[in-house]
Amino acid sequence: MTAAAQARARRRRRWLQQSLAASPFVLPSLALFCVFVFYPLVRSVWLGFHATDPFGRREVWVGIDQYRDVLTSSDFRHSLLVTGQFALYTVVGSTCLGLYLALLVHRRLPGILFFRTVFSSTVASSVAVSSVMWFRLLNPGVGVLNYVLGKGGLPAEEWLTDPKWALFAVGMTTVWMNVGLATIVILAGLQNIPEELYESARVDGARAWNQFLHVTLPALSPTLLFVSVVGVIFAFESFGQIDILTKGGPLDSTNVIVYSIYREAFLHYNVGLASAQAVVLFVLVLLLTLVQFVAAQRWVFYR
Amino acid sequence: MGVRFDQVSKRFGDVVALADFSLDVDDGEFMVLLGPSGCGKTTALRILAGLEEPSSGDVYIDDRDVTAMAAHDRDIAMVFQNYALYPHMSVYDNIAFGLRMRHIPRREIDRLVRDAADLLGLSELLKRKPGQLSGGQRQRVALGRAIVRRPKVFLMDEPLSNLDAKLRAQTRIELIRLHRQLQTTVLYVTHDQVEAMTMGRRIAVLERGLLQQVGSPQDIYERPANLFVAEFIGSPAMSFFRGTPRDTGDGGLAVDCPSISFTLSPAQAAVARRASGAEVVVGVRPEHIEPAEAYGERAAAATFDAQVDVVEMLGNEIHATLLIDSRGVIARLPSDELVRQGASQRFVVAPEHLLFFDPATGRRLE
Repeated sequence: MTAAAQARARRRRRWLQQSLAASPFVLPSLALFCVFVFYPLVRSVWLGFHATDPFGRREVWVGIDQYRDVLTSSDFRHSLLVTGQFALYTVVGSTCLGLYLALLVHRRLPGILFFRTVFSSTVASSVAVSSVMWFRLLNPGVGVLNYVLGKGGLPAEEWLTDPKWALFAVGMTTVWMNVGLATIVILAGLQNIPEELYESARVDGARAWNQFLHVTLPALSPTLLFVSVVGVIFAFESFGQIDILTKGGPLDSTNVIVYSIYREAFLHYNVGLASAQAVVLFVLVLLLTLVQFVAAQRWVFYR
Repeated sequence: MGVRFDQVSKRFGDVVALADFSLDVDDGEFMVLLGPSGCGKTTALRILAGLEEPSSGDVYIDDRDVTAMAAHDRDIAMVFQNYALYPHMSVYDNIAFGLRMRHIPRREIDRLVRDAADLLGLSELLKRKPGQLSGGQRQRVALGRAIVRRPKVFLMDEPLSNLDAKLRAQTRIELIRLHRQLQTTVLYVTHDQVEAMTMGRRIAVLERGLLQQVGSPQDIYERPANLFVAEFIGSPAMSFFRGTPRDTGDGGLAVDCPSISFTLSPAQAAVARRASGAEVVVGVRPEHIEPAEAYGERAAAATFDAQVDVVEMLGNEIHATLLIDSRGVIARLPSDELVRQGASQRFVVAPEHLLFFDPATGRRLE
């Protein structure tokens, strides 16, 4: 055996030993991932190729028919549009609001801990609780929102039953739910920016706005990317608040893809079509996240 | 007139960082603020920069009261200890940033940035990000960012402390050259006395928020105002002997300290007699202690026997720690001098450079 081959064999042996030692640590989470992520994923792709009867049984191979149906159906396109709009509302809303709140509580003031806790508290409320709470607040008759608007001389709206407002109202609720996490993450990012950078900028002649533009934003860019990627993923998988507040209505104006999958599978018992939709959704989210990361390389700066 | 501090004080809660600090810095002068950490030197610098507000007192730049002026209006530039370069900007943009903030035309900015880069040898690095530079290069970018604006005053906060010893010595010389070229007022904060002595036209020594002495490097070394300055300046440090003056009968004076006695010249006796109490402190620089065998016939201020405890070889000289009883006193000797580690030898103190301090006030007597 040549020396090179020996070295190769030795390396392979060491790799094997290390893999063997690592496996007990990896196995538990690998098992969970297999049961709850990988298997359902593969199963969904497989189901997408099969038509199912109204009881969710009898699987007939139909090839890519269902995928074609999904991609050409106007309902799905509508759902896609609604989802995109919903993602736009919630990502822009919770990122900007989170940034604003984090900037507010970033400074050191007496009692600031109280406000930090309040601003980040929504992270601890469940989707169901938040939704029920907002259901009350948005109620056209007894809700606080219309009451406040009325005091300000603005017209009352049928927030959840008017197709013009329903998606906006659900989006607002979701922004409220997401803003806690966004605030915490952005605040942590802010506190990592060295104070000297601001001092240097001040001496260099930068006022507050330029400090924000040239010091804060660049330093925060990885954090903002993270918050917006997570926000997009949250938006694409939002279900609870839509189920509780609008059930996809009125007139499908809040029928996001996940909700339409749910309806297809569990109300119409068309598991095959729902699976095809789910697979398409998966590919979409994957692509979108990749696009975000690639686009981000232009302006996100990692230290 | 360059910069003036007028009775500036700064308190952080109960801590007094700077007390009644007054200092005039001439136009174009290289002034070093020197002191141990926590002495208030950086606070003084930050107050001048406008990064910190004084609790009381006023600050002037070019005879203009700038106490209430924001940092960005003061026309100063600062080099920070860790450089504080903008990590996401190229070297070019880092240097140009201050000019852009002042809305200088693009073409003018380009010319100024390239001039500054030329001066500092950064021309090849303009496209790099700070993360791709060595410590010395970053330091130069920080300097470039400061000089490109041609400010009225440069403030430097321990700019060399993150460099290794060799680079530090090199950069020191570059800074001296740069100052000679630009002739701009510099306030330079450091705890390193070598930097202070080599670069400063004058040095302001601070301790615990109080200005101890302002003077040329030579002044400070040869005529320290008090015990703190005498001990802080000079490496190895000056040795102090506390003792009681005794008339020798013939009009002369001797100072008897434990295990060593100094005989003073008439002029020195007159100085030592000015002490307010019964005792006086005698200060001896390490270079004024010599082995008796090499000293010759001249009169010595003191003669003592000591054990040579540790000998440190530095190449051009040696530092010998001598034990007088159990107390260590350091002597600085030319390396060809004969001292043997562990041996008991006789040493003398040369008479010319003795310093006398009042133990009650700490002030040097003269």
